[in-house]
Amino acid sequence: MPSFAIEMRNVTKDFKIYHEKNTTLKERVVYRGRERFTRFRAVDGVSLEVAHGAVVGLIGRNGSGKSTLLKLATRILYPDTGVVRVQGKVSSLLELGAGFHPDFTGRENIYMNASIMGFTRREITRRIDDIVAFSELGSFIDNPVRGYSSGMYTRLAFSIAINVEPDILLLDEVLAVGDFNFQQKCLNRIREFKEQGKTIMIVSHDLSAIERLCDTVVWMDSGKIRMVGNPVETVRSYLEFAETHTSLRDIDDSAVSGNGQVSAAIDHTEVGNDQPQSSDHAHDRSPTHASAADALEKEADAQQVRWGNKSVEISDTWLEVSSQRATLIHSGDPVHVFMSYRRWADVTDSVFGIGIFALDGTQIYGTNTFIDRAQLGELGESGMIRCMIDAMNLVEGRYWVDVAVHHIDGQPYDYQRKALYFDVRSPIKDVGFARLPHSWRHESG
Amino acid sequence: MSRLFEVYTYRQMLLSMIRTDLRTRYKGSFLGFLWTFVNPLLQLLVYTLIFTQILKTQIPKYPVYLFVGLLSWTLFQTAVQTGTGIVNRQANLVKKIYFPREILPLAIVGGAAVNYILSLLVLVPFILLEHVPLSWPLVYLPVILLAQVFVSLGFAFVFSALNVFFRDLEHIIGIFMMLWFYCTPIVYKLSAIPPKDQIWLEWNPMTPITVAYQRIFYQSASPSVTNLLLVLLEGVLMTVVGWAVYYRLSRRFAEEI
Repeated sequence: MPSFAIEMRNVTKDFKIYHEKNTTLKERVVYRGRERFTRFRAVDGVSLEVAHGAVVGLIGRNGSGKSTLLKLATRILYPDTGVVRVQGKVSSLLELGAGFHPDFTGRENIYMNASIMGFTRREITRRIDDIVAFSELGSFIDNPVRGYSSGMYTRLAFSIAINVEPDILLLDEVLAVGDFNFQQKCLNRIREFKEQGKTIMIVSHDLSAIERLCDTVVWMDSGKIRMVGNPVETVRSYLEFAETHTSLRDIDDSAVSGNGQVSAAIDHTEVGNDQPQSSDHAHDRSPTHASAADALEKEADAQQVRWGNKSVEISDTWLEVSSQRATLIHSGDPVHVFMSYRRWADVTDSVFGIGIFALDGTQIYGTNTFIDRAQLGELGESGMIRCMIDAMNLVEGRYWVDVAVHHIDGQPYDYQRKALYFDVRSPIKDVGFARLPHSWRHESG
Repeated sequence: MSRLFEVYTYRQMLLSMIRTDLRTRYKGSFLGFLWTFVNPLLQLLVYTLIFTQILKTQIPKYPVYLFVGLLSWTLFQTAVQTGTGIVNRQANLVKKIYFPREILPLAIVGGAAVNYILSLLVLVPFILLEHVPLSWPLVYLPVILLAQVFVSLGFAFVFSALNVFFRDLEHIIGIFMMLWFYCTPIVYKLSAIPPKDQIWLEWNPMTPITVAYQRIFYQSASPSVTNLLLVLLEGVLMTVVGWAVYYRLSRRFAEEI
């Protein structure tokens, strides 16, 4: 018996990208031989062995073939060349709630959904209490799912996939489910899985979660495996590569879940309709759910990224660590946040501000020159403002920065949400957001 | 054989899908599952009027003769016609979850068969009301039904797989089924066709099946055992070939729909 849970040998998968797909018979006959498509090699000669009990993370840019690889492992797709072997019962979660029937109750959908994964009624009945308890749906479980919020929907779907006790669990970008507590619960469950010696393969852009959960990380690039190795090193190489090739935000904006709340500290005005939704609702609007809605949300997000009358414009924002530009920061580094500005109109009493956010939209910190009573003097035609942070005491993870300049009465000149992203690495695996300066002592007696 | 085993491990899914199909069809409607009979009953009424009042058919107790054929045709038509589009309709599932793809046409044909069995609840009283005796040849019913299920499965497998690649098939099948209906002795008797032309109808696997149903329900006589076994064998062969075609093509479903 082969000792691998998942084994891939020289696997290649092409997709046809149709410019105009002729699916009807008339089109097939009339345009025979003229079907125009380009071949796109999504997975290119990949060989991979995943041992029983391994937890493997797949990282890489969008379109690098991670999800295709996962679909090959589940047998949703079949390779054009090469061999894929999978040993054991697979539960995959590529999209939450695929196969839910809106008219059926949560409980009925549990039976339906688990049966699609190949479980018998008896096996499901044995676990249904665990599933219901895990989903935290309470009495809603006997209501039709059409009335569920998308948060409830995703919690139910995740609870099913994670509680049916498969031998192999495949997860595609579904770690960001629900609120903070639920996420922790899911991560704990995944850790339990790991202790039970089950095989897990995760595709995620949440690099810090990948680093914490996985034994091995596979970095995919243009359909090929670029690196396989221990999580810390692989993630670091990936980040360094990403940094030198494009700015981080082009690589995966999809990592950003939820909409951040506009910093009250750096923005006194109500932005009216543009006000992004408050992060309190973030758990009910999980971005992993419907792709169409997701795209819309992203679009709306993009439109709200910048506003203001541009009397003063922030033309560039960057971070420096010891006079070097950086997006990868080690926890505790002194960091300077730079904003270069141009002034286009006669303005006085300008206030500059920054806000630092975690990926789920929680604001870690926000301040501005008014709050800090910083004396900047009047602005010239152009110049640079820098906020000097003595020690960036954030825990490991990815963060974004909002920057803004506005008039002292609150009128915004230039407000840029997510002006830049940065990653914090730390050898110390503490949790939360910021490391409070501290030490320990024991006094006996 | 390994395919059979895998489908067996997913039997719960098959049952759930059949149940879902039946439940969603009738949930929230006042008449419930009686709606399945509205269509054949209406057909029954129209054809009875035409053939007894206008065309003066010589077939005695014509409504019984007709109803027996119509119900079995409904099973076949539902299985083939809704079966053809099933993979496309379940695109979301096919693209996101692995399961043996054979479940989809199996569920459609299974659902149609269950529906047929339920429809006997209407057919049997109807037959008794018309004073047609029901007797022992009814023991052939399971065999006839089985043969029909196999024949329907063969078509459902092939058509549903091809429909992923040629979407027109669904519409073509719709027209085709209408022609097929008249090529099957449902509204008329096979004996009404000149013997030298009957050979054309015998290519149609639905002919021996329909005739067999009519024998046991309408004539209270046993069907031709040879014909029955032949069509059963034919059905099994069609299912095996259809299954193989379907399985081959199913590997590309997720990327084509």
